[in-house]
Parts: sequence; C-alpha cells; structure tokens
Amino acid sequence: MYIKLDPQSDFPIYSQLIHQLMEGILKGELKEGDMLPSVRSLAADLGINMHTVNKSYHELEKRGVIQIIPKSGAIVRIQHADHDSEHYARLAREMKPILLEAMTLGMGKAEINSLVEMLINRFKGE
Amino acid sequence: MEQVIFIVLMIFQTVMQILIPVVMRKTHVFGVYVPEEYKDVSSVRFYKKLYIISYSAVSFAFIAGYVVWMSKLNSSMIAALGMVLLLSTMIWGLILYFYCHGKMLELKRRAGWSSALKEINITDLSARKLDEMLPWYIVAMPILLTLGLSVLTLTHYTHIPNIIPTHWGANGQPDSFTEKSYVSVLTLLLVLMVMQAMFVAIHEFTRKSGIKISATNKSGSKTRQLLMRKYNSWFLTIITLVITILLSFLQLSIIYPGIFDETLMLLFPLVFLAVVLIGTLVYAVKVGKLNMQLEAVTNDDATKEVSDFDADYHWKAGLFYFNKNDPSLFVEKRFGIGWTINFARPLGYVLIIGPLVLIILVTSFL
Repeated sequence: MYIKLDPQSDFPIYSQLIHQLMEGILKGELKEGDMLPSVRSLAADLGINMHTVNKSYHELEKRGVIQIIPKSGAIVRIQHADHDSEHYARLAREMKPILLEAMTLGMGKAEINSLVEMLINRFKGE
Repeated sequence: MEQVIFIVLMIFQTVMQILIPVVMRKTHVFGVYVPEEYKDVSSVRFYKKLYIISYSAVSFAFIAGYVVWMSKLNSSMIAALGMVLLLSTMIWGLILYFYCHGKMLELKRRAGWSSALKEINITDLSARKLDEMLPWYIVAMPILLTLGLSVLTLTHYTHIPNIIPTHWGANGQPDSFTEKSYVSVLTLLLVLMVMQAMFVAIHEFTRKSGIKISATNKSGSKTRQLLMRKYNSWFLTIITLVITILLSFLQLSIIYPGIFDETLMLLFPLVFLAVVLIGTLVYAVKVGKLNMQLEAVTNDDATKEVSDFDADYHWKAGLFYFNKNDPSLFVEKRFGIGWTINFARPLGYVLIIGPLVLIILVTSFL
C-alpha cells in the first residue's frame, strides 16, 4: 500500500499520515493484526521527521486503531466504537462542530445524510 | 610491479568516472534533480558528453605520459608520480563535475524545470517486507575467523619469533618489523576486527535507511531500490570477506614464518586488489543496468499530477546530503555509484571516521 504525503497541503503531515493509514484499513489494504513499519523506518522511507511519524502512531493508538509495541513497531488493532465506549463519546464530541457548521450553512438532514453516504462510499473504494 | 598496479588503478579510475554519467539515474544529472519530462533534452545530453570527453582526454593523456616516462624513473619516483597522477585526475574529475553541476542548476533555473506538478513524499508500506539485504550475522560471520585466529596466535605465542613483521612491501615481503609482545602480535587482528565491525555497522544502518521510491515510477523505482540494497549488501559482505582472508593470511605468516612461499605472498595482495576492483566494476555495471531498465516511466498509476519531492535543497553542491528531518544515515549518491552519508546525522561521521581514527591509533601507539 502506498502512502503519499503532500508537504504543501493545508493538512499537517502527521494528520495526512493518520488519514492514509485509516483509508488503507477501510480499503482492506491493511488488516487487523498487520504490522506497521517501525517509526524510524517509515520516517526514513518517507524522508520525514521521526517525531511526525511518532505523533501519528500515538494519535492512532489513542483513537483505538493500532497498538504500539515498543522497539519494534505497531500492529493494527481496532477497538470497535461501541455505544458506551470512550471512542464513541469522542467521535460524537468531534462531529458536533462540523455538523453545527453544516446546519448553520443551511444544510438539511437529507443533504447531510447524502454527503455522509457519498463519503462512506468513497472511503470504501466504491 | 608498482607501475603496473598504478596503470591498472588509473585505467580503472578512468573507466569508473566515464561510466558515471552513463549509468547515473536519468533524473539526477550532475547532482541536480531534473523532472522526468526534461531528463533527455539536448542540453542535458550535451553536458554528459562534455564531461566524458574532457575527462577521458586528460586521463588517457596522463596514462600515456606515465607509460612513456616511467622507464626513466627510479621506483620511489614511479610510485610518487603514480599517486600525483591519480590525485590529479580525481581533481580534474571534480572540476568538471562542479562546472557541469553549475551549468545544470543554471539551465534548470532559466528553463523553469522545477516541475509545475505537485511534489509529494511517497512510500510503499509493503516494501520493507520485500527487502532482501542479508541478515547481519552473515555479514558478521568473518569476525568468528578473527576470534579464532586470535586464540591461535595466543596459544602459539611462545613459538612466534621475537621479531615480527608489521608491514609488507609491494613484492609481498615484509619490510618493517617490531619486537614481539602480546599486543604487537594481535595488532593486525585488532585492525581487522575494527574494519569488520565498521562494515557490519554500515550494513545495518543501510538497512535502517529509507527505501526511497519515486512518485512517477512507483513499481520501477521500488524494484530498483530493493535490488540496489541487495547488491549493496552482497558487495559489503564480499569485501568484508576478502579483507578478512587477506589479513588472515598475513597473520598466519606472522604465526608460522615462511609458511607461504614468495610467489604466494606476492599473489595474495594482487588477487585481493583484483577481486576488489572487479567487484566494484560488477557492482557499478549492475547498478547501471538497473538504471537503464527501470528508469523508463512505467506510469503505473496514470496520474500525471504528481512529481517527486525536489530535494536539491538538501544536496549541498549535489554531493553532500544534509537533511535533519531524514533519519536515514546512508542515502544513495546523486552523482556516482553507491551510497553517501546524511551529513546532518553525526552518527554517520562517527561510523566512517571513527574506525579510521581507531586504526591509526592502534597502529601508531601499540
């Protein structure tokens, strides 16, 4: 699976990396239990700072996507965002401002739903 | 004998230098990144030709002059002149390089070759699994031989003559001696051990260095990088082995004086030199072949919107890589064949200069 980072983008590199890895999981290119490269080698392969990769890995771990194994790397270990889990609460919290903005700009329920559906299909590679 | 070695070395150096512009990556011309779409324009080809013709003209003139002159010189003058000529051709190569490097930069700026496409950093997550570098213990295997020889030396200590050789001339015969002591009989093995450790360290840090692939030719550049790493690994391993064999023979001749006759002692260093030169040439040719086969744009993704990150800024004078953000210790050279260090990583200097300093210390104070 390829990872492409655009240093000129508005998104910081560490979040681009997070999103690419998540997309890889959704598309099935990365599976539960797959080993990610060590922070050092991924940073070397991409030619970016180790702290950047480290930040992405820790963020992914916090978000319940991977599990970091010190000194060797990280494994894809997905914690399902159940209704009463911390991940669910966090997602709800983080979605709030975006939804608020969409509604303020006049988007109705149907429009928001179709936007969400379109994005879901895109992430699944359909 | 010396003159033949020098002539061989000079011809070898010339061939290698002439090969560089031919075999180097098409997108890295004289240390300047040239985007895919401009790599074959006539001005780029012109400077490559200029380099090859100017270099070979001067170099072959030197070699011819040396062949004609040397019959009138004594042997120390022959060696001195040989060294001066080798160095001069090297300097001439550098002058030509800097001229062409400057010209390429100028061309790139004036013609606006900086690609209008979006520059991205790219990698393949699965590339690490395909890495075929040899495991570290294979590269480190010759260290066992050194340890074994150390034991042999110490158990035979009383049988070793009181005066032992420390230096051998071009004829393979010792020409400098020292008194026997526990330290002096082991000096050679100590030097060997330092070199072996250095090669293992270089090998392992090369493994940790980045597998760099190109956004415009993903599968081709990936195959190329992986093969480069494999060749490099084999080359380092073979060189370590050959150095070990040469120094082991010398150590054996210290422990058992006269074990090898004069012809053998003359042959060892020559065979060593031949293996190193042929190995280097084979490595260069293999890399060159890779560059020719895999550098054609395969354009696997059909996306013509992206290009590689233009790292000219990180390549000082196109020769010295200086990138604080890149954890790689060793990177592929931009001009030339092989690898160079990331000068922003002090560990790189330590790995290259440290062993040299150690060897000099060991040989001058022990």
